[in-house]
Amino acid sequence: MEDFQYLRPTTVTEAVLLLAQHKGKARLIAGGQSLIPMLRSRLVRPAYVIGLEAIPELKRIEPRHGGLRVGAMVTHHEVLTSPLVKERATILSDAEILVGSPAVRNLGTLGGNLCHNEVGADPPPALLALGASAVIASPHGERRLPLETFFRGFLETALGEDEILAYIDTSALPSGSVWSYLKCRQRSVDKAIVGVGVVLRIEGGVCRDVRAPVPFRAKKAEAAFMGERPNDRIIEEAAMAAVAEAEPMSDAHASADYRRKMIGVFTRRALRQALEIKS
Amino acid sequence: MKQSISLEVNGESYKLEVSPNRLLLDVLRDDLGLTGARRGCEDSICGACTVLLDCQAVHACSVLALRASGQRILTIEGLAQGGKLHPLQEAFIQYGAIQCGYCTPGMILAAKAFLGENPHPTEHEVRWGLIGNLCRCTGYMKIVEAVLAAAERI
Amino acid sequence: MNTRAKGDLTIVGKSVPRLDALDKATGRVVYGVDQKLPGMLWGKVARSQLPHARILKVDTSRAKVIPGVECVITGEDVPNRKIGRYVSDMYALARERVRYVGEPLAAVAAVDEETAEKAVEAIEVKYEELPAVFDMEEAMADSAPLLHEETETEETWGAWSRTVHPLGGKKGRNVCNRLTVVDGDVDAAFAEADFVLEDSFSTHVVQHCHLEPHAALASVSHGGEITVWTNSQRPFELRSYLAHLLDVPATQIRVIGTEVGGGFGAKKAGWERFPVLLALKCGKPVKMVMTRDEEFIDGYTSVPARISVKSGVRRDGMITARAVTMIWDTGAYCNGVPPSLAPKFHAAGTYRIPNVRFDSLLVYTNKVPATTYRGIGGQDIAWAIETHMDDIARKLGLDPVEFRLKNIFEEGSRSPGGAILRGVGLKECLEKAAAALEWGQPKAANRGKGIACFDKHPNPASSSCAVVWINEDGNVTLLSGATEIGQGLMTVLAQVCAEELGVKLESIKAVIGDTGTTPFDDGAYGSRLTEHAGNAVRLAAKDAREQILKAAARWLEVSEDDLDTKEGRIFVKGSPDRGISLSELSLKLHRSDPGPILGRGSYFGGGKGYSEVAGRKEREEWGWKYGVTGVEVEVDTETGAIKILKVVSAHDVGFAINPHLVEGQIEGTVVMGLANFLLEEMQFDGGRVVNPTFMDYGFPTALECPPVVSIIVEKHNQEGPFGAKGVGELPIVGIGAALANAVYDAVGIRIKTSPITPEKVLRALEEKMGS
Repeated sequence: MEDFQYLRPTTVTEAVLLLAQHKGKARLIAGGQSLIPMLRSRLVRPAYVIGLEAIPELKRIEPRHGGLRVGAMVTHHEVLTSPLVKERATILSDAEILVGSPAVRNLGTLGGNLCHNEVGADPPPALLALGASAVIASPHGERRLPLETFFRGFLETALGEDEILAYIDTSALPSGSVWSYLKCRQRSVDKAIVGVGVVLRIEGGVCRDVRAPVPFRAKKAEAAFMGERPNDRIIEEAAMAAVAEAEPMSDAHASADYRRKMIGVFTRRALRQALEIKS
Repeated sequence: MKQSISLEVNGESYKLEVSPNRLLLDVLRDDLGLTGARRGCEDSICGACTVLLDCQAVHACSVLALRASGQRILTIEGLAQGGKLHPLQEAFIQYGAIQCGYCTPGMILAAKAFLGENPHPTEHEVRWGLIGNLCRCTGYMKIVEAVLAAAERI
Repeated sequence: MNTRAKGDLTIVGKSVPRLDALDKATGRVVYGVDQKLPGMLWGKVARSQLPHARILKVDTSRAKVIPGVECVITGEDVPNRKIGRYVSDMYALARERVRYVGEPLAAVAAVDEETAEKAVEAIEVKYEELPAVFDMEEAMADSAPLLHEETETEETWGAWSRTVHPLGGKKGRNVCNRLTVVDGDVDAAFAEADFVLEDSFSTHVVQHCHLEPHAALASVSHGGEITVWTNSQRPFELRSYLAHLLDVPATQIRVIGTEVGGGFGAKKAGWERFPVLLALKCGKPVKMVMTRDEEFIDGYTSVPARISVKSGVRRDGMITARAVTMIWDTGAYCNGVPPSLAPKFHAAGTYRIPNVRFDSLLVYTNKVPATTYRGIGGQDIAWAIETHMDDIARKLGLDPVEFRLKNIFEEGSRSPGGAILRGVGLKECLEKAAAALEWGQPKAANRGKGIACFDKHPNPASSSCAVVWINEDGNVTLLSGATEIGQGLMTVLAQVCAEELGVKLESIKAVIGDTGTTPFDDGAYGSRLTEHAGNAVRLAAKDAREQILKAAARWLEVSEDDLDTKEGRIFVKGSPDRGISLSELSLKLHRSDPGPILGRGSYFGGGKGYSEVAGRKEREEWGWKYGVTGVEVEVDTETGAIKILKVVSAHDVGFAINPHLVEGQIEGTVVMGLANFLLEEMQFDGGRVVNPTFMDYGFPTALECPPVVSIIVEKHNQEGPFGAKGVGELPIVGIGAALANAVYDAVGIRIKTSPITPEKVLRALEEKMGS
């Protein structure tokens, strides 16, 4: 790969100032599991690479208002083995264990995963189902975005050139919540062909869905569920609504048509699993 | 511009000057002559380059060498202690889990890290633990048998 | 060949640990990728970006001036001589034309990989694009662009295309090779049959995916002697190939085989010519290692096929006639010959069918060349034949296993082409596989079982040599030109040697695969090594043992017939105290008449299956390899996903010299086939490989691979060492068809176009529901 200068800020402020200073010529590196292959194939050729590994506040998982604040530099392994995450956001643990392979999870970070926004990544549907938000730092301060507006398009997020995703905040889950994350994929190491995250509470619920190329909240599917007693018909309506809202793409792993069908199948299955309805 | 790093590899300390763009895998192979970790892909998926970084399995092809500075690295060359093979190495030999051998160093180290967190796994769990290490020769069966056998002995 | 009764054997037939396992488990082996020399340069290849074009200009000027670039070569710099494995249809680097995306048209040597890559990027090529064709049947249309002008005439082609009986006149547009086999009269038999069934199938492109990439290091001495370290499967064959390319005597080239991280048929296509040509040009050693996407783009692939089968069957379930038409796609160059010739032997399947006709065509298209892939087309044929067999069975209301048992080859059966088959363990394989699968037991919904029978023809005509030298300390050096590619060959040869000599296994040091120091061997391909190299080693060991006995008899003043050898000691039968150790004897012989013990073995075998068909000469043939694979699946009817519940695979290996190694081959090979037919597919768009990475190509992890129940059947093979036969390829042949049959048994849908993807299953289920 091309040579570059490596910078290692120790605070978020320092990091965003460096980004601003080298606008357009710098890349952030978190765990490196996405960036390094891109550097090696010379898809990107930054003059500066800014490592975030020396910023302590980005590496913590903390309780926050009954929910969580997860620093962007927390690794997948740290997320999925965290007792706090298991307690307050189990669906995220469930999604994280399905990311890549052990070696990738040991180094790859949650923040890096979200910022790369690859098709079929596992954390986004789970986080969307939790109603998570992204806390973004820049030289001008911090801003908060609901996660569904953080994801913009294929490999694209709402981050500006001088911005860093600093934290992911989740809120407290109301008592009586149930959840499920299900992944449709061919191989264990594959990204999801379709990944569905569902968090709901009986007599009102929130249903989320994801498919390529952009994770989305299946609002119509949610609406089908809100205020209804769950039964097979409602589950079917929600599944069909999710299918209708989706705009899947075709790639080497699956066609758009198959993805559409699987959105239906997996939404149905995720809802059932969450509700523990035997089919 | 080169940076000074210190790597602890297999219990030995090394002070090196490396360019930021050097990968841990290449520093191990080319600078330290430890060729047990090898490259088989460019996507951090095949696992032939697996080494342990502070007891965790990582793909050395996707680690900048300077990021490994100050961490304890274990490669396959450092696994046997004082001429005595690690139970995983013994089991791999005994159970016929080695054919062409290219995946073997990475597979053994990944298994070591896995057993460190899951000392009494089921067969299914072993397979889960090894999804980061590809093998074309064995079909994985004897590898899984060897890891289960080694788990009994560790 | 047999000098000992089976009960006396103490080393062969035992699952001894591999001789190379310790070094591999401690990271000490040196693979092609590890090889280095001081002052070596790194080589990289520049590749065509178009599937078919005339090369107008290759401009290397910008590349040459990059600091650290030592030399750049193009098609103009390489010998103007066509080369090729079976048909000479390509230049060492593309000249005048490129015929596939990824075709090498220039090469660079530089101080490091990074610089070499930059230099490749700096090479500019001007093309005149030509129409391209990507489909094998479209390529045969009169209007299709012609890839190789010479296919218009018969005369310019090499021996291969001539000996395969073209149907008189032209072979056909873009047809590289054409084979027709006729035995009996299929048309008459079809007319008389009670039922005639016809169907068509097609298979897809897969890649070998050996974990270690192609790697070679070439160095040229001042005297012009070329040394190549390479992970090639066939060092001697490579030597001839390079000698032909460079027009030098073979002995001017030394090919040293390194440890090989998997081959599967890919590492023998002559890729080493690039570092060699670069080393010749710049006078420094040049190393090249393929990246993984280069492996997909230009590492060569399997040969996909479109196969039509027509069978005539009697009411009683006997097959009376079978006609099989096969079209194989070899991509842009003709490495795909062997699979298209394989039909000569088993295109009708493993059945006693008196009337057969096979038409096999090998067609050029503008894609990456295909080559020998483990199983060489057996799996494509089985995909069609064994699926078709199940269809016939069901239409006749017969159980698929019973139907096969009725028709299957047995000891003394006659195969198409007139061979009388000997050492036929097929029936036993089928019975054992069916039993292990619990065939006939009631099954749950969406679950099904499938089975497939298959064989592989005897080894290709080829030689192996070996030398056994007893050192002065009594340890044995075994020299063989064969190659270890992970299959355990070195251990097997050592076992054969130790058993025949009567020494401990630990005393054998095997030195293999170096054209400068080991005697000839045709290399690792076609599952030939156990038999051919094994026989050569046995001959050499036998020769050495005779010398040992003669010398010991003189020393001990007894007759040779009174002596035996065991664990490195020569002793009088019945009085074991009277004897001498091999180490003592050998030391003496290093200092006295007749000198050190040196055994030689030279063996030529195989090729019988390749002999003329039309002559119908009846002859016995040993050495066909037989197997049966069965699988039980569960189909998820909502997603189309297939869950493997059980896989069994039974193989007649003649005699298992090392049962553990045989199991390892069966397990690994079956799983490779399973992945090929369920997960893997090379996808093309306009001739470009769209999924050239492990991320996007479905190489399986441990979680996708089920355990395999391997069943070893031993039907003594008269022509193999201790009765053994090779097994490195056979287990891949039947799994695809077994899966297709199991899916049909489970949910009543027939997938005829491989691979069996969830999407296809789902679509077929929907169509079935709709109709």
